Amino acid sequence: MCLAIPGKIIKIEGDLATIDYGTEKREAKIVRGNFKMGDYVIVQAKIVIEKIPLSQVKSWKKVIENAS
Amino acid sequence: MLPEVFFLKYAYPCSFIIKQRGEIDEKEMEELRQAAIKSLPLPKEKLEKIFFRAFQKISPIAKRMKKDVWDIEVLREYFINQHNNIIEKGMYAYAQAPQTLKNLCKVHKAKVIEKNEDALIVEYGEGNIRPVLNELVPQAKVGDIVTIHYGYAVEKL
Repeated sequence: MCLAIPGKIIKIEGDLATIDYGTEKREAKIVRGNFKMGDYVIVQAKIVIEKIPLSQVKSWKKVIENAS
Repeated sequence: MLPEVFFLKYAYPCSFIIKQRGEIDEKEMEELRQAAIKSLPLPKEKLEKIFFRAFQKISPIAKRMKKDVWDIEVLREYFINQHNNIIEKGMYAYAQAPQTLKNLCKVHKAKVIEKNEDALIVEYGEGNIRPVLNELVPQAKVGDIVTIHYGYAVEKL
């Protein structure tokens, strides 16, 4: 499955990335794009879909978790 | 297409956010996924409850068009035309949303440039490229124009 908040890539092996969400780690496939260790990304259904600039990571979490 | 089916295909990609907020659980999300993939109509009341934020926005559009919220023309007007304006203007919960989130939340028309086993690679806007899941439109092929929402291709145009 996937999380709607950005997670940090902590490992890349071939096209498989391990992503750290703080409370848990998940694996997701990189099908397109240049991703590297330390990048914050959004995953949907086990596919890395977008890189999130570091400056936007906090506000992502805030909006997703606190929106009414 | 039944309006319940049309609605769910466009709304399903947002269910990840709804689950993140703890409003639905893993089982309910899988039920939404199966219904979206198999084009099964779920009860309107259930969809209105889970996706109440969408209906907050659809209601005034329906009123303006003098039609029911479940009229397919109203739903199409919302997802294809109004949804992006609402996001861009930063209305509702989008007021604090960062640009990358807004961009994923928008519905874009995109061209399929590559197809692999898990995903479609699509191009939209001015040279933006991203992978999207193809399970809602398994028949989509290279060269097709599809709509995309968050991590999914939604509809073949």
